[in-house]
Amino acid sequence: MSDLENAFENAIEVKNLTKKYDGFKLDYISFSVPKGSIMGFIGQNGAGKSTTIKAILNIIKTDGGEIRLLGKDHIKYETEVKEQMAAVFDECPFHDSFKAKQLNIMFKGLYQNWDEKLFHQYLERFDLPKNKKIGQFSKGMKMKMQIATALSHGAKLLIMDEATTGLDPVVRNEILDIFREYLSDETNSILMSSHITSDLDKIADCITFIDKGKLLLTGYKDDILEAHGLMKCSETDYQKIAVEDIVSARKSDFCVDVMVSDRVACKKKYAWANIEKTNLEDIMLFYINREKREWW
Amino acid sequence: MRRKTLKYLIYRDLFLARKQLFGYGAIALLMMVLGILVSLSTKCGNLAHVPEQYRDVLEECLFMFSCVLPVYMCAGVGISVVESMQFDDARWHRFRLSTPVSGYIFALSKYIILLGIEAVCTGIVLVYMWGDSVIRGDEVSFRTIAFMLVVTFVLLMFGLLMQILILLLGTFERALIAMVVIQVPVMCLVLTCFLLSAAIPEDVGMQFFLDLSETCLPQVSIVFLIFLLVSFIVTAALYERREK
Repeated sequence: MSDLENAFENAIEVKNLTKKYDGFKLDYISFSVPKGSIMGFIGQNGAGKSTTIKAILNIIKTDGGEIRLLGKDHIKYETEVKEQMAAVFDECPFHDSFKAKQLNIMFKGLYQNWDEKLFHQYLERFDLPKNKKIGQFSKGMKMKMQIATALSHGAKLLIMDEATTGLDPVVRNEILDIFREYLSDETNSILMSSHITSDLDKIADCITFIDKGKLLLTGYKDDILEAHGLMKCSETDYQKIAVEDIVSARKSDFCVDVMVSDRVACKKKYAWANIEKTNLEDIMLFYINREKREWW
Repeated sequence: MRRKTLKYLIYRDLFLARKQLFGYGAIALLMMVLGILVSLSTKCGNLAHVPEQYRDVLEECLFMFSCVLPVYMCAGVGISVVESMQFDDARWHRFRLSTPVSGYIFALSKYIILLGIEAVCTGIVLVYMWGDSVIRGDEVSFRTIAFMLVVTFVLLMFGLLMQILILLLGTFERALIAMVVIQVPVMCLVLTCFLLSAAIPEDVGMQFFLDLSETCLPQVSIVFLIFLLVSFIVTAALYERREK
């Protein structure tokens, strides 16, 4: 890539993305994935993560909005952009009768920069058999095969749609290590959708959280975690907290867990309260229940 | 990039359809071998015991069985190849749209395979017909060749139409039903016509088909070429379509 082509800040820019289905609407979603970072795209099932990713990949038609990939319009420069990116899906798209050899031949035809040597190196590294049909692979092996093909043509952008769902912790850890290595090249970026927040806690630089087609949070993970806090208090103390400070509250028989959206400010305001740092899973849980306000 | 892409996509599709290629091809070749044996047998006078008024009809039936039917089998190879290549399920379609290769290139690779197979099979049948004529001591008539070409073109058009239907219908099960719904009646109709024409005394029916083929070959060829172009454009557009 030339210097001019390299001169973009964000690997992915999504602005006011809209898509309507019966009973669901992706509602003016806007976020950016900075170059060289990994963005965790979180939300519960049916939140709109896959729809957003399909829109980014131009697999579905959208009803509005603008998407730029690697600094270029994703439709106008579709061929050029897709040469430099790779998508990994939750289900392996390769025919069951293929072996590694047939995949290699097929991908030579799909990508100009296909690196056969690198592909075989990944096969060895992932311990993937070369003479076994893909239909006989385990789920983890199929995912590793997808990743091996994704990383073997010099892609600058990797898009993963629920790719680690259903994998055991050992395989997931291996895959996360591969991603860390991929990001050691600062021109590479990853967008990874998942509802397994523990993986994103480990690896993500940025987080975008959507729920029911609406964008709830987007930004650097550390900033989001720093901003939010979990307050444990009694029912009496809970009544003293201002509504605007609360995301939502989880009540139990013994105490109330309150998620606050500005931990530092709340620590000053409610000096008597014990406000702890939180994690992505709790943030997701409390935001999903924000409309209920109080839940059990 | 396009030539290289086409080369590897053709390899992919041929690999996926290899079982159908071998299966249908083997059956077609077997039938042609049987046809040659029958021709040799008739040359040696093995139909001498058959009453004369039925001898010509029987020879025509044998011609249908050993020559025309393998042409249909060869067309069936092409159709099967296309069909098996169309069983691109939703997972593959979604992945393919994430790659830089356009639907037009995919459609082109499939058409090259389909037409290539038909050209090879038609060539084999023409060679067979020449060999058969040498054995019988006849000349290969242009009418017979025209008839064979018309049959091939018509069957190919059915195959291409079915390809579009399969892409439109989307799922394996619906595609299979479409295949059965379209192919079985067509096969029955074609076989019935052949058998009926062969059974009509004095060979009137067969003469009619041969005369008609010779007359209509230019028109059928033009219709076929137009259909080929239109179906390619429609197929490529279907490959390029996005999910709603």
